[in-house]
Amino acid sequence: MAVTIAFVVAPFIFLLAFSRLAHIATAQLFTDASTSIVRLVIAYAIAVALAWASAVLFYRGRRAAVALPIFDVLQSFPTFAALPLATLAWGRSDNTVIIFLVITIIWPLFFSIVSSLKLVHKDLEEAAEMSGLTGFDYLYLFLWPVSIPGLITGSVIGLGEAWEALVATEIITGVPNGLGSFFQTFSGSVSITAFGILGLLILIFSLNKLVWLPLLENSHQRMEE
Amino acid sequence: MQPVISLKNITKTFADHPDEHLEALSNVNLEILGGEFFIFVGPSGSGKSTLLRIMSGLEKSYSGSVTLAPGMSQNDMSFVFQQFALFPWLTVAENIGFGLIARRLPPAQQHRIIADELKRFGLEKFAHAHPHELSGGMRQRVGVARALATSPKILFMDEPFSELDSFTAAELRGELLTIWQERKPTVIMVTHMIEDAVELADRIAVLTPRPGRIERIVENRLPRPREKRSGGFYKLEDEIYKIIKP
Repeated sequence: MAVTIAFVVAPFIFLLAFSRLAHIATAQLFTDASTSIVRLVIAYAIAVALAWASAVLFYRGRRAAVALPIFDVLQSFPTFAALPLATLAWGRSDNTVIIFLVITIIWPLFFSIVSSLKLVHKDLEEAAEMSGLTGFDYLYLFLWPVSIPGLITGSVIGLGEAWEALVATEIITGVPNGLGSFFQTFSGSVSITAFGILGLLILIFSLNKLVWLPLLENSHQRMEE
Repeated sequence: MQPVISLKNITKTFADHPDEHLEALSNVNLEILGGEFFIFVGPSGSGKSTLLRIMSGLEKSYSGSVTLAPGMSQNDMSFVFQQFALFPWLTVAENIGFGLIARRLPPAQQHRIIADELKRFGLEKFAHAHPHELSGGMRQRVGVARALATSPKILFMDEPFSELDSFTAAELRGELLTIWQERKPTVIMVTHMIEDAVELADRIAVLTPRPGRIERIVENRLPRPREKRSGGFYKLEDEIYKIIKP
């Protein structure tokens, strides 16, 4: 319990101490950090919905034979090459950042969920079929639980890449707030940049320790036969 | 008596490798009667599991026809799997109730059925346990309870005892016979154990491989409960063995 609280509090204390030491307005730093996190959360939610729906649609059968190679090419697409163009088209907006984050997060999610679905034992699928479940019930009561390990694994990988993409996208698009703009503003100061990165690492580490690692452990236990 | 399920000219070819057209089943014709305990025996490769999957609707690509008795549907069938196939994320009680969800029974009735099956199979203490916490015998009890919870007219069983130790298997066979006599479903089972078939079945279809086909259907008229160490039992075992290995 004490450890949990420490992990929750650590990022805040760090931000507070950091802003005092570096003589940055604390409010500005918190706004930047939370703006970026909100963008990330929205992008993650969209990516989960899209990845899960497409994984369920395309994980097997004739559709898989057509779709999976296409998705494999798409995931290798150098997204950032299109970023300046997208910024011109959509402006320096939240939407531009979120769209690029979605594109980053969706692939590890999609392929992990697909592999979870493909790894389900055939007799479990047959048992679900014999139970007579169809439509929404089948999605919710069978495909959803069996896809959870892949969803968690994909989230860990996807969000890992997303933090990097988040800062990069914010810098390239030049949105006026967020962590990207923070690093951009203080690009002249080695120490502030270094402490900023350290702060991000503490935040990511805390999130992993508090959220993702327990979920990962739990999701695999649940599927233990 | 009317057949609950009849097969006409069932042929199944595995065409995955075009150069080796493997005929898993060739021209199978069969009628199984209501309330009958019917068993397929045969060596591996005789297509008995495939035949069971075709009859239960799990296997959809075959030629020939499967006809159910009038008024019967897929909802009147249940399946017990060799490796239990319990849903690992659900508790024992939830596994048993899984088939009731699609049948849209009122929640109170679902709970009553689950409680009854838990009691019938001595699983009450494990109602909230997950499958991985149970022994093999307990898991297959859950598998059978789940299959029976929906009150099926036909109970398909694919080598249901082959993953269990011999003591547990004998116990479960006894329980199955009791339940069959109480509830009178049609039981259609696959096994490679001739002894099990002679102990349980009314009729035994002997399958031979390459291509899989019914070599003969043996009537088992031994009186129940069957004495395993009797002359009649051994004689029938030998008879079946000779059909498979002439």
